[in-house]
Amino acid sequence: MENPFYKRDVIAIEDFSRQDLDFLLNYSKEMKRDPSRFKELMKGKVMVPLFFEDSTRTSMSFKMAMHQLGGDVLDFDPSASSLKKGENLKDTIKMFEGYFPDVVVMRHYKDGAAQLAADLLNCPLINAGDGQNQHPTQTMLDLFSINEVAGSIDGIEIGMVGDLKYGRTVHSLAIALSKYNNCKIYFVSPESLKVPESFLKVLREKGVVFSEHLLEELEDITSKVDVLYMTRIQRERFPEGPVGEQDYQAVKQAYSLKMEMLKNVREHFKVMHPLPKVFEIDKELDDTKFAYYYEQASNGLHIRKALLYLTTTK
Amino acid sequence: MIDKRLIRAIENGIVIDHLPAGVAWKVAEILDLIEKREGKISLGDNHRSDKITGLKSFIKIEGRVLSQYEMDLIALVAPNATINIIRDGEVFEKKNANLPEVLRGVVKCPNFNCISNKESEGIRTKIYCKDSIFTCHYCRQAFSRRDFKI
Repeated sequence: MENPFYKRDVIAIEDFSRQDLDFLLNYSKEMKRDPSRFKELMKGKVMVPLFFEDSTRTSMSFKMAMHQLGGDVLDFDPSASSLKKGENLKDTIKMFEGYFPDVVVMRHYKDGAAQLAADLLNCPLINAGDGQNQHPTQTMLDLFSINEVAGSIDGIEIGMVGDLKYGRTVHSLAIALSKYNNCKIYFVSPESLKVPESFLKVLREKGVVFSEHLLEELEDITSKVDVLYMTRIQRERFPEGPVGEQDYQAVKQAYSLKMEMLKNVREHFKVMHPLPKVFEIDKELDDTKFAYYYEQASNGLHIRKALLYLTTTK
Repeated sequence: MIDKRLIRAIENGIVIDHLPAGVAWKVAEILDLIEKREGKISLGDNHRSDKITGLKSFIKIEGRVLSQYEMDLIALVAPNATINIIRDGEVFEKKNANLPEVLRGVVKCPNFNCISNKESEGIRTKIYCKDSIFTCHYCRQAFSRRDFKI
């Protein structure tokens, strides 16, 4: 099969077909299995990381990926750049375009910034998160991890737990699962953070099978799924002040996955989380066979290595 | 019918008719008639109509040609408008406004956090229209007509 990622921007998970994703996951699997085979793949190529927003994890993962492929990484510090002098994103991108990079990786606090940059660049752009909009490489590494745990994404039964109202990762993952066959999603959340009806409508149109549950049912759900995908409830989503704080505390305390809730789980059952996690998973789980979130984060490296290579090489 | 006692008939140009009352001003804004000040423009508002319920408004433009895209933009505020092309004082052609596939720089993306709303970027907005769903080229969020302020 021809490489479907060559010279392509990676802006949103919707842009990629099931075949594209299979190709990426297979390539990433090879990179994970035998990294030594891929050490020199990006020699002589340069990645420009434009992180306009703090993101240690994603930024380090991309930089490490490029280093492990033998490529070079340019330095970019937005706090010391012309942005401080009032330069707009368009000018910054056009300036870097003039240096002829091989690939640009960007995170920005505005929705749609990735598309703007991609329109201006001649080289591929990989979106490492634009505002509350898209973070496709997170979804790709989630798919990779699910495939690793269950052996296939088709037929997966998954519980998505936490902030399902605003959570970008669960929305993207649900959309991605619509490309696979016979998946079932159990949405588990506090009443105030349920999946928005407008998004459920999109899922119905795409033929996704799902059901909605409150947190009280979490223990029952754990026995029905292959993967439990936990998410963090973000304080900044609630109103400022004492009332908002009270609401947040009420939800936060009602919501922690504990060992005793995993008594009847399937043999290969795993807990995933996009990290960082705070209170939503009891620390006693971290060292058990159920915790897959560290492996999941590490899988980001393999997915990003594959993307850097595949978008820049025929 | 436009009351010819109040508004002079035109020889060559365009009459945008059967706009709901008040909407002619919005059409003038969308077509940039006020800023550009090209051609002779007459605008009528609160006239009786034999075609639409309630009062109507209309615009007559003489000496300026509208592109198909410009005519289609009228559908944003008046999907039932009638566009009459006038030649030598007669109606040469009647057209309806159909929403274009892409709106460029006409409406703002309703998503406040969209990069296209960051003034310092100076971005010309680009909104795709399909089956009454409006999707921003940049943030890709989908909206209905109700979400836009025009």
